[in-house]
Amino acid sequence: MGGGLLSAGLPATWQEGALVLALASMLFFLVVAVSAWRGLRLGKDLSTGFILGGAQLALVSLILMALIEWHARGSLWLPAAALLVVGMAAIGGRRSAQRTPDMPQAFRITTSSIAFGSVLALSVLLLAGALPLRPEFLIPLAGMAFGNSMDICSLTMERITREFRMNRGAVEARLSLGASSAQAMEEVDRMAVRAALIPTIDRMKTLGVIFIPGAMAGLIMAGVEPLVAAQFQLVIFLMIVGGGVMTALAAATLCRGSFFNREHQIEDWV
Amino acid sequence: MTAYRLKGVAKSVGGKEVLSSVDFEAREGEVTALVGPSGSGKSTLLRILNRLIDPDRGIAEYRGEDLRLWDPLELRREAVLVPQEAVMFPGSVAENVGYAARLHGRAGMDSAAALQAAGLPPSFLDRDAERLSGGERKRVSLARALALAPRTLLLDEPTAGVDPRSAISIEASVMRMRDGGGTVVWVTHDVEQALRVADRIANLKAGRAGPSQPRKDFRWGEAF
Ligand SMILES: Nc1ncnc2c1ncn2[C@@H]1O[C@H](COP(=O)(O)OP(=O)(O)OP(=O)(O)O)[C@@H](O)[C@H]1O
Ligand SMILES: [Mg+2]
Repeated sequence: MGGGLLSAGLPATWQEGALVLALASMLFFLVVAVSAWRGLRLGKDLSTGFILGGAQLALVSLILMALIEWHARGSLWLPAAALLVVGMAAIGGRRSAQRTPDMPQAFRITTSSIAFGSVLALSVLLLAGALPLRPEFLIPLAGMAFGNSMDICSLTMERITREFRMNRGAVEARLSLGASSAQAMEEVDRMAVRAALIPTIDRMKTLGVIFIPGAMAGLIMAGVEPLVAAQFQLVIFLMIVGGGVMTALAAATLCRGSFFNREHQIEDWV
Repeated sequence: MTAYRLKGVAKSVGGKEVLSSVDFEAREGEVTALVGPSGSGKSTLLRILNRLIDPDRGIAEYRGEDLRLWDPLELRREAVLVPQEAVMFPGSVAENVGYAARLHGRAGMDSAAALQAAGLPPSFLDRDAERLSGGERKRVSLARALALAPRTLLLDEPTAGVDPRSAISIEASVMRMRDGGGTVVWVTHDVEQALRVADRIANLKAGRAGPSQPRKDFRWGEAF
């Protein structure tokens, strides 16, 4: 075999994993040393990032292991997984809401939009039978869906507020001709949703050209045939794009409740 | 019949009291000119009249009913505001003028006719609205409102930046609408124009206004 330490290529137990990690840490120390040498002052941030990120990953792995075990024993794992998903939505919602601190109700808007888009995309794949309802699928995929929905939600919130302020005259002109708040916002909504989705769509267009995405890379290393890995990656991308579109539309729709009152009048904070 | 009756209306915008005590009346079938110095709150008052905003205090009625009891969408279709700033929607002039008709599923007036009434020839229908000159935009903005054949028109300096000839034709269209029983509230800085078009004149100064005067009784000396 080509020089690897382990016969199977990938570590099979956590002890083997720790050995591999320890060896790879050489790279970490190299980077810290270079940073000190060149006076980049990145050492502290790098260490914090490495330790914090590592701890978070460890925590998620432990939760995942517990869920997988519960599932294997045939006990109830779904409620716990659902709780985890709610937690993801709340954390994503909070971060996303920080982009528009002056908007009332922002946290409620972002959390429910992210949850709506992600859960919808996951449910469609589950109901279609494209994904098995098992923790080792659900939790990682939910993580991807929620993470991407969060990014798209942040972009939508930021963009819709900016477009609204820039196009306030047009919105008011439409209201003055008897348009409802929804009708007056059509143009602004469209621009914000499109802008929020452009990075994701661009990423889809360059799939495989510049980079092999994480899930596909992981599957290939785990021994899955590359073509199958590519197919599965596309499934994941459909989930991400589908969830993202639904998240952006939901966020745009819910923002209307903060921009306008029930009398189709623009709220003072905007 | 009174179209609008306001008494003691106050309104703060962005933490500043813009209107402190406004009495205002506009009668059906008349042009009421609203004059006053810049920043006196004329545009703010017009926005109250079509419920883009609501007053903080005071009485405000349209056709004998409290403005707050009017459904805002129904009111804005009937009492159409032409804003001071003429903002074009993306697309052609025809799409702009036809906007309200598309919205409400019916046209009050043909697009070409509305455009003509606002002082532009029908050849403008195919033009890109966002590439028009300032004065042309003003007229498309007016045509958008005229296309609804509104019962009441709220005009915020509709002829500012428009050449005198087109201004006269706009005036003529609005007078025709009034002669057909329509109600007009017309904000203007132009004394000559107010004398030409107005049946009554109301004066807003530093957020205050008393009742409107018949044109011939209006004392211009203190108006601005
Ligand atoms: N959103 C806002 N925030 C703060 N102040 C405002 C706001 N809107 C209007 N104002 C203030 O209210 C006052 C009245 O404004 P308004 O536009 O009603 O005046 P106007 O009589 O129409 O003036 P002009 O003749 O220049 O058009 C102005 O001093 C203006 O700065
Ligand atoms: Mg004004």
